Amino acid sequence: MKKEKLIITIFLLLLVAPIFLSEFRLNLLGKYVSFGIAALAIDLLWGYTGILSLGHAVFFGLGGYCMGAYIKLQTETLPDFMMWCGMTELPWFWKPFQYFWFALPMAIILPIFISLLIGIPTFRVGIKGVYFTILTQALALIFVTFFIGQQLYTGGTNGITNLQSILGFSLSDTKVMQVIYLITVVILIISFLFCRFLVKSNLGRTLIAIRDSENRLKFLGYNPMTYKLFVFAVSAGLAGLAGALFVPQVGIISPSLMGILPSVEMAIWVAVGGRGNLKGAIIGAIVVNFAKSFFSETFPEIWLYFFGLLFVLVVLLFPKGIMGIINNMVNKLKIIKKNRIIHAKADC
Amino acid sequence: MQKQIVDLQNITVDFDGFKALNKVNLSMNRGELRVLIGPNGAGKSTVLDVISGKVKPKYGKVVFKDKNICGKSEHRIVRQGISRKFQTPTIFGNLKVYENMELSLRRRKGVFSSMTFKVKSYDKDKIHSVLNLVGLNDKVDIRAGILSHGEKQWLELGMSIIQEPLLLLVDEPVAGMTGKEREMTGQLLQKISQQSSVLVVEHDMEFVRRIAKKVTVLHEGMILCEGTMDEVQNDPIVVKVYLGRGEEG
Repeated sequence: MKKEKLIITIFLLLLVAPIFLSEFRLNLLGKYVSFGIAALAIDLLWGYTGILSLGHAVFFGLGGYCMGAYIKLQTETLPDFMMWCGMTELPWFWKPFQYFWFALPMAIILPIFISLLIGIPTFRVGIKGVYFTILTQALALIFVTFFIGQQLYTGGTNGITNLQSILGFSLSDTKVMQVIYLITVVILIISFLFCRFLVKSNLGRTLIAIRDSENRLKFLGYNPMTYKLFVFAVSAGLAGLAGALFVPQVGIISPSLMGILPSVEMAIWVAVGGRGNLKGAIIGAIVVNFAKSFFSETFPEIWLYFFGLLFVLVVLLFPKGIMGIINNMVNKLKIIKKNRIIHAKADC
Repeated sequence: MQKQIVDLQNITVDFDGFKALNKVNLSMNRGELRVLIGPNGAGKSTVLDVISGKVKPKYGKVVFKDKNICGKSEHRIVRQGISRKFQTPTIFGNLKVYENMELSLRRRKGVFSSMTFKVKSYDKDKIHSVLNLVGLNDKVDIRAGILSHGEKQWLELGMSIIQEPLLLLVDEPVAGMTGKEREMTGQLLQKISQQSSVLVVEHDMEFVRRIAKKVTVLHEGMILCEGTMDEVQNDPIVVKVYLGRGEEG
């Protein structure tokens, strides 16, 4: 229990945040909390299994588009961008998205489906390491191009904008936004517990074993491919869920949110927070994004340099991220305490 | 119970025109400890690769427990009861010694079985008894990555034993070991061969002489001769291509 103090404190702080924060800040925090879920997804895949995906924003974005389509259809029978293009009827594949019970599961199922579509052929022929990473980058590029190109169906570069109400509640109502924020936090907690269950089980050790030596694992009678597929699919589904929670808080989903840059940013959250540490992933997502908004508000012209510097410094000096620093300090404190007890005994 | 455990029939492995193995016939009995020797590039490791499914032969069959296992994927062959220890120690460095063993236990190894798997008390006893056998019982909670070279080799042997294989393939077990470690490894392999058949590939003739009852000599992808160490050493062809050359060099 003692070890979990930190994460329990963070969760409690997140839950009581609506009391202290302004509407604007709470909205920002809500965004970061949904990023936290995406960071968990990356950590499971990269931190534990050693598979770096630099295309995870695709899954995040797909989840976002599913939710965005639903919200859009709440106030408009035919989305504005379709009308401008001269469409008169809603395309068939848009129709089921007017139902929440369809849109929300799709936000998870669609990313899982895409992940399996890529995962099965690549993992089967043994593509791994940097080659897999490059492949995921290509995926991000393809999806962005595709979504921009299909303006008629996706809203093109602008994406789906002007999102107003969810389940009959207005997204401009402060109370509604607070509830959505709280739901996001609760889902973050559930996602954390789910990931924790996975990594604490024997499966978690198997994932680390894949990272250490996939070949050895094969010769112990495991089929690493099924494990990799499983974790890739879980990770994609989680990222999609994160995207679905992100959209109602921000009110927009566009291709720029599913490209290479946001994908790389996701990996940065986990690297800064501490790879192979679920708490670290959440902390990383929140800290990095707060730093980003602080720098961009305070030094609007040069903030990107600060941001880059922060990343380089963390990776160079603290390869285990924030959690590595915290664990080091805790260990040092323990040693000091121990020494004190020994001295105290000696004094007696 | 049939006496024969594995039977390689007419195995030919072709690497882009280079015949790594050429019509190799090799059979082993249950409970046998066999050593495979031969000069560099003779195809010794390729034999292990073929049995364990890493390399698919162009022609021939590998019959294990009366079934042809050729063409099956590696993890399926392992599940049939063939374990392998690699030449360089291959263990999970970020896991504890105990966790390495736990992953190696004989059980269902699918994703969902792993998710719900709980170690039973008899599994624990088994892990401790194998760790005792390989001499790592006092290193249970140490991260495997910081073990010494020899200890890693033994851990990997332990991981192979705990799967209770019918056939254990061991590739150069004493490479990089000190004299005392070699002695211990030799005893260990002999102990293992009481329960399962063991096929060892080894370069070190001193070591081979110590452990081997029956030796198979491989040369340029073909089997040269088979017999006890003494028989093999007195075979004029073997002396010519292999042992003699060692003395010249």
